[in-house]
Amino acid sequence: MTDDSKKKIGLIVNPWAGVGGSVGLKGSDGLETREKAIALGAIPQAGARATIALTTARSKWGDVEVLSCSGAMGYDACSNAQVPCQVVYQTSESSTSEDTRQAARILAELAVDVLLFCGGDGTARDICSAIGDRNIPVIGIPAGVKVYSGVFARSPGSAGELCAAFVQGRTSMEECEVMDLDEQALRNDQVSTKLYGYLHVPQLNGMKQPKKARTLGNDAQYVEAVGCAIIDIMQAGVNYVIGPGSTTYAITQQLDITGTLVGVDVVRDGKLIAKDATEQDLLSICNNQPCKIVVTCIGGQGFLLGRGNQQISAQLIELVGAQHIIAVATPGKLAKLNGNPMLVDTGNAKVDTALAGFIQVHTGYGDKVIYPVACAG
Amino acid sequence: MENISQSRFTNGKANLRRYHQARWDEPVIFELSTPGERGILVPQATKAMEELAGDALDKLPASMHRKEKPALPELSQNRVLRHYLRLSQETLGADLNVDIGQGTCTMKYNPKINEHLARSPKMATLHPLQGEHTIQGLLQVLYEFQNVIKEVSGMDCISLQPRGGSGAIFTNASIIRAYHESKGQADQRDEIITSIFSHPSDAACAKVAGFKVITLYPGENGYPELDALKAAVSERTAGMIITNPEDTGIFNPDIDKFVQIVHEAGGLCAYDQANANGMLGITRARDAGFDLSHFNIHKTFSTPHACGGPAMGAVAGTEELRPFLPYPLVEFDGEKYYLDSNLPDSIGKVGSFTGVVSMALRAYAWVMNLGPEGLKVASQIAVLNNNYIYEELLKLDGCEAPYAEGRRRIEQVRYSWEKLTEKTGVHSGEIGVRAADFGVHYWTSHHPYVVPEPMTIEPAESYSQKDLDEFVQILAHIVEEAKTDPERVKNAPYNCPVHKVKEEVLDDPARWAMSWRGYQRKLKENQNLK
Repeated sequence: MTDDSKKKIGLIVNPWAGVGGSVGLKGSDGLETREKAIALGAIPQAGARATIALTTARSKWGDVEVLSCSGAMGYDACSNAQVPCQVVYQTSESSTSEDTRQAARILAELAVDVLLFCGGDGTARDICSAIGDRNIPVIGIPAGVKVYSGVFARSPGSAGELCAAFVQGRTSMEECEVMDLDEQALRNDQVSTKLYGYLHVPQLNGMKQPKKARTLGNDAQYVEAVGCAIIDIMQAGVNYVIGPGSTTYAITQQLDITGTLVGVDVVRDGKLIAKDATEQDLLSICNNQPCKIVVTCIGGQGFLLGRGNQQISAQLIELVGAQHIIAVATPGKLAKLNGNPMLVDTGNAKVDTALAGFIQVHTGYGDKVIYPVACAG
Repeated sequence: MENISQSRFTNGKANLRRYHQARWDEPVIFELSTPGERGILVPQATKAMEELAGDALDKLPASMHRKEKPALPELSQNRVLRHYLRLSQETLGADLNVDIGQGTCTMKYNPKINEHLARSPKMATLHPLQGEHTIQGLLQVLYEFQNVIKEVSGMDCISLQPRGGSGAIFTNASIIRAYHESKGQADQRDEIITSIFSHPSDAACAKVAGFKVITLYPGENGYPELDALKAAVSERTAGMIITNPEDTGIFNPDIDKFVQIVHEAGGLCAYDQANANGMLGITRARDAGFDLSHFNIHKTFSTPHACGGPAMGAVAGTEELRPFLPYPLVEFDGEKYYLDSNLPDSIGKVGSFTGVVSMALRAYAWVMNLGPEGLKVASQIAVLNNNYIYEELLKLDGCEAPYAEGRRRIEQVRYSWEKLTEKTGVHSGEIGVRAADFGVHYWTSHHPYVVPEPMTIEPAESYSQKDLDEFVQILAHIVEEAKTDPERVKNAPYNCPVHKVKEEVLDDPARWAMSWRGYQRKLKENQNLK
């Protein structure tokens, strides 16, 4: 393949994304919710948002080939945006999450260069589960009620911009979290998020500028450096509870241990003590044992505890001691917080208050940052 | 007779400059070489001279003899001159544009009289190995310039040896370590504290000197909170190296409390005076309790930036830290000036001899021309200029100055175009490139961007109100373009010799080379691959 060959763009629209939001349903997952939303008068917006992204991208991406799905899952948005597309997946009028997964698999088989999808966290999760292991660049057009995942552009227009920039070779790649809330819990006013995995998302390069200093290394190098830094300070005989996330995952990887990316592992003296541990596992391991907890902030909101890592509960933190929490994050991730504090929401106000204030965050090898932590809500 | 000013104004308002940069498509100088072509014909030595000198090569060990002649380009004098003049026309040099967009660099005017002095044979023909008694005049200049630095920093002893700002920061970090070594605590005290809007070399040089680095982020006021510092200090604290004002131009009024907290933890404090251009004669590092400081002579004291050197960073310390300074130090015994190398606890040398002495002469001339009052006035004008353009720029749609709303800034400001970007899709980097179509430019910020869509402007004291107005007028025009025709901005530049720089090439070692020889080698490697 040469550099100037036509880029193939895959497009999947989840036509039902976001329908629950406008009628206060806190999400749109599942057929039942969707029907309820439509009955309440919700109008699907995802197609229109995909059209905006495509219209923005169309004028800039030059000669590309768009592969998509029939009807509301892609073809309609393409024709509204006057973007020629080839339908490679046929769906019924009432598509489901299985259609999203199936379409993603087919587009991956057809070797698309980038997959543009329109939806919310549920859609991102479907795509992640179907093709998360294939390293295909993915760009999310935000249309859902929940958009906690880092795979989404800020707006449909910026998703289009980003896609065009990718086609023009002006992007670098970053692993971004796929997060989802448990909608059922949310409707009962409980917040429970889980980290489902990572997708490769193009990022705009720093604009062409006479730079005084060269761009910092990419975030992946920092992830590795943070891993080394933590291994360096690990003490003999101490249990290290390693929270979910790609930054913490680097620790187990560099110890040559098969840990989990989205779960909680426990490491002691360079050995894996527990893998994908539950809160109960952690409580029993840490009982009367020296312990430290290594966590990173997850998701764009900067949650350090309480989202995506609920296994590390208030009870566990009380047991281990707040002073034994070791925070890690890459400089790029911190910059994306836009100066906002990291958040904690363990469900225990006393623990949250004890955690609030300033915390030392490992950001590289021999690099730490003092960063504010605040109670959520 | 035509009215020549007619085309420059519309309804009494100045038009934008109709600028176009030269494009020469000038080859690399090695490509211009013709075997045998010469710029200067050196006269043959006479027989008597040859006999007197003998064979110079005889005195060198055989292992050091070159086997081949150096592959230097062979060109006539006028071709060389043309080559470099053409290249110079394809840049936006400091003497050519309103160079206030290179924020944090303090691109003030370098008065030509200083250059004249530095190039005079009295200076240019001196040799660093000459005996002290033959360079008393130069040593006097160095000594008196040291006194100037003592006065503006409040410190007791000075080294002019570092080759620039980063060299001076490295020197300060090394002095901090030597101090803790002398107390037997060097192993324990291995952390240096700095802030994210400090000069990035504060962190980088501390790292090179072997320290771990803790970085403070700003609070709402734009500078770190005292509580953040308290969370950073410990028995591991070696010291703090910090800039004030930081790159936001916001002065940290609690700086003396910062110093106190670090002192109480057992650390030393070094004031990076990179942003001192608004501070001369107004505040002093020592008065806030600092133990060390340094000045970038090429920024605050008007000497040329020289594209990364040779420049001068002046390190200033308290009497307690004198034993650790790089040697030799320039001293005066009441009768003569001399070099003191008797510093057994010194960190060693961070450069050769006494530093780039021609830079000290230029800076000395600048200071002596201004006098103490003049230095202070220069700082006041720099602050006035900055706050004038600050007010003017904030009137532009989508231009903001994050942190400390309503507070005056010192000598520079880091602005944000985030609002304009959200509205138009045009990024700060693109605005900066479009500005080059009108003969100016600006720099965004270090990476990663903490201020989104950043622009850093530092007007210094050298520029007139008219200069500043022209700069603002250019940006105002680009803001309008971004709103009405964003593609016009995004596809810029149009009037410059280089269109867009392919940054991915700069990141790929296989596609760039630092020398002609490196280029040829990599070219060959690439061809072999094909």
